[in-house]
Amino acid sequence: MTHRLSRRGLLAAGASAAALSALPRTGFAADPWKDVRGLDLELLIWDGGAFVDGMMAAVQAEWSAVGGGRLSFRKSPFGELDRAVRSANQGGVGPDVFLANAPNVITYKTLGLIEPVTDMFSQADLDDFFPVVREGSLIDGEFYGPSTNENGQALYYDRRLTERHGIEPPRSLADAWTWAQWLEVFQEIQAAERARRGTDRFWALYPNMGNTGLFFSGVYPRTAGAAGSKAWKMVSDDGMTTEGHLNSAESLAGLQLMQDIHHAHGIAPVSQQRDMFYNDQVAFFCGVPIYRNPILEARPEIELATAPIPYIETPVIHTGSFAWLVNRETAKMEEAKLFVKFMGSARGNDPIARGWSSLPIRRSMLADRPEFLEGPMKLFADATLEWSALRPKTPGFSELDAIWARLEADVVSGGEVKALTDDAVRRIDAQLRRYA
Amino acid sequence: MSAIEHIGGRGAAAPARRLPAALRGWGPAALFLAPALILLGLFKLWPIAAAVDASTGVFSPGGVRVGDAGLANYADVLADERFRQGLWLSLFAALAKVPVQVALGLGAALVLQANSRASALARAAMVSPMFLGLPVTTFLFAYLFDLNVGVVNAVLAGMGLPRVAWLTDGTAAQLLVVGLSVWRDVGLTMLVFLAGLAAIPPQTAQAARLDGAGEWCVLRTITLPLLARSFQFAVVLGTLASFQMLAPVLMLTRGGPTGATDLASFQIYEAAFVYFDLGRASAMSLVLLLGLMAVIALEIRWLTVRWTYE
Amino acid sequence: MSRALLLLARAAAAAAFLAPIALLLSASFRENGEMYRHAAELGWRTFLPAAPTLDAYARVLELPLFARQLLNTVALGGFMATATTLTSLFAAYALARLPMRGRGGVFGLMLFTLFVPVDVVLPPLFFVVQDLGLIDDFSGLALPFVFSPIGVYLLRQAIQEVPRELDQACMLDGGGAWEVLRTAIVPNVRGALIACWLMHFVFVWEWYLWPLTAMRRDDGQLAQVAIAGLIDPLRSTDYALVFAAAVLAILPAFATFALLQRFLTASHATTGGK
Repeated sequence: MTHRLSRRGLLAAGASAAALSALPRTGFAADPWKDVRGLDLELLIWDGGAFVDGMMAAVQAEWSAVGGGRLSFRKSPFGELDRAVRSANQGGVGPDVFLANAPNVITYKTLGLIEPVTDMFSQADLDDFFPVVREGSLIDGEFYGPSTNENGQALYYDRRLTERHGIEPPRSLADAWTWAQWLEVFQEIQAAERARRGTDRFWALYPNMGNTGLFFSGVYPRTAGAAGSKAWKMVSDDGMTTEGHLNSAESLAGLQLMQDIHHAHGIAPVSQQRDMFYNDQVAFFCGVPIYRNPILEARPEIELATAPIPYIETPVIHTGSFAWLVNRETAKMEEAKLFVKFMGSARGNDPIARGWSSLPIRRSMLADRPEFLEGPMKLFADATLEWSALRPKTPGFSELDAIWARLEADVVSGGEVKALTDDAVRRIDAQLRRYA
Repeated sequence: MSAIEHIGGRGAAAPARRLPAALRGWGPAALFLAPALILLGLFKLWPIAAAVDASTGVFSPGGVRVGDAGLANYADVLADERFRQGLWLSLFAALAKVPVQVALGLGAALVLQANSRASALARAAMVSPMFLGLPVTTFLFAYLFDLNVGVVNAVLAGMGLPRVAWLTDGTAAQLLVVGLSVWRDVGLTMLVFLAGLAAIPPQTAQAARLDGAGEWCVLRTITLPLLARSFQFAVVLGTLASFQMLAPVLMLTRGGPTGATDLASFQIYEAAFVYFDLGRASAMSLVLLLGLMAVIALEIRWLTVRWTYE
Repeated sequence: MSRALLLLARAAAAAAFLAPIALLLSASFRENGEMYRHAAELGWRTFLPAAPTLDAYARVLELPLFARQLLNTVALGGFMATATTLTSLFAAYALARLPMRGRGGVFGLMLFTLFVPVDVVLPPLFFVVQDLGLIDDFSGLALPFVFSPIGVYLLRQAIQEVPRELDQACMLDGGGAWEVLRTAIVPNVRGALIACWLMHFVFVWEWYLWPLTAMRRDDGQLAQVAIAGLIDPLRSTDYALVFAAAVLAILPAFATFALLQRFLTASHATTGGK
């Protein structure tokens, strides 16, 4: 479920949380890390090369400063991360802590692989988290671990381009346009730019298919339904079936729109190469905050602006993240739980959120990130707070996502939408049934 | 030492090295086969037996065996239309890949068998696709074959031809997958034929030429028949590779677009590594195995060795 | 005339096969931003970088483990090629020449193991290697694949082509099984031996799934698997880095092949019969 918060309400909540945490507490340890014993911990993390290594070095520095021990890492490519977690304990006890793909928390809980850390977080802590951070890991009343960052999505564009054609895209969520409104603008800009450049190698929109793109993990079928409708939910409440949800009428309309964007309307290129915006071959680029610096680097003269992403019926954004989880079989249970608690605190989360150039997980931390409080990046913060929805909470999320990725690719290639979706639903449900 | 004394000397020493008569039939063979058999048993037969055992089980999404299914997995798999379609696609892939690969490999071996530096360089060039790892190859091909910003389409468009949606059009994707596979494996086929050509004593061909036979005639009547075993080997390897073709599909098309490249081997990978359903994956493998053995048996029948040196 | 045609054929073969690799090479000298910029239209910049730079190679050398991983691949390749060729030679010799019951059955069994898709064999194989305590160790990576049915097939076929008179001549001189192998067989199957060696050397470069599963230490990993880790689906990929790393990874294999391949040609492969 989404929480509709106003900016004022948010700052008020953040201020009160900060005020609360500043009050001295009797009966609560002044140093929350006094129980840290300095044991070595092994973490299973995503292998992101130097990017992740740098973040982890910063985390190690902070963890050592509160008395933590040496952190060693078992790295896994993102595509293998799920398998690595599921097979972590096969043949001996695996790593103490997992950094897993956030939507899989319910998967690992269902499979009995992780230990709840509810006792590590007070109610004030849980309230300080952004809703999507909290709800993804709250299962059956137990909290399993905080995520690493929140993303939000928006359309990046060059203001000089829109001004040239007299278009003024919305700048805040309140003015956001629906697809019907955007479509006209896209078509107009594309035709005008192509005429101006004398080439047809220019498109209006780069949806950024795949991870964190416009259709990320099935957002399009969801945005086509009214809030709370079956299409919007995508999976039934018990997480066991997509029949009647993913292939409901509104859902199919959303999928058809995905196809039309690429073919009937022809405003998006059928390409997997993200650099098209860097190479000035598309007008609007759907992205997450981390693209800001590469864009400025690739196009120094750009006047970077952002607009809320188009929606069909209900605005929905899926945010992407990782979650810190404790291996149920670890021999160092207390230390591992303290580490997860640390990564949920401002001190542990800050290096990671900054490393990702994205929003932190606590509202009280927002005050330290001025770039998200005003200017074009503010839209990402707003989008995360107001439009974000958890990805479908089902134990079979990996299977759902894998089949969704195929469906997305097939729909965009131009296959028959209803037949493809019915087939996908059938295969997804067959996989979800295995968790029953 | 004279030659006779030399021979006599060796003959006199030999009996001490001979094994007892009872073991002479088996002894040497067993010794030579031992390393291979141990490795075979431990690392190939045992896991295969485990896989057969797994095919009768029910597996949880955690990869743990939670029950028995008897032959139910096989029934499921054979009833699954998608898998049957995958088997047919594997067969078509073999029909497309094997003849092309064998012809190209043979041609390359014939043209490049000389000892010159130019030939050596060309041979190295032909084998070099194999040195590129799978992820890099497919990454490279995705880069080259993109519809809008790929080099191949740039060339096509520059020549006035329509751009081809290599990754999103069914037939084009099939061509791309098979083409990529042939590109990578032709070097291997060439090596096989080079080894075969090298084993042909040059006297045979020379004798024919002295009798007045032309190059083409020599090729047809002498060389090709003597390469029959290499043909056999190359065809078998190529068929195996087609039925087990995974990397191009896994990294370029993932079974798409709309199932055009949904090979049985890819479905097996998905079942094992994406859905963690080892029971089903093992059953699928054994069915594929049977199909593969049938195809290869047919091929070998068709290519039985007819000629020898004598 | 035919000489010129042959030359043309050689050149065409080399060009067609090298084209993707040539483009890989050329792309490794580009800056990342430029990678796709010029492929929408056809021009010389589509193929060659406008401002070639060695930056990507510098970045590859800055990767802390890359040199080590490349060394791993070369060492493992050499080891596996040699071990496989030897094992296959012995087994092929036994199957082709030495009398024993059930030869055909044993050979058929070996070939049969080739037909099973590797994906389903990997999980149980992982457990076998783990029980031997060899996970994350080079011997754990190498041993399961030292036995190669392809090698046995290739060498058995080659040995069968060697005339039995040579065997008999050696045995008349008083040689046992080992002498026959050493003096009569091996010199006459040199081409196949080298082909087998090269084939299995190259296979190590192609490996992905097994090293990914069985070697979890970064510093023990192979070059190609490590390069795959550079391809990042979540953020912008450093294309030039991947291409440059791929080029560097090819070099040892290419050099080895270039050095050894002359043994594949007729003049070196056999000593001929009498």
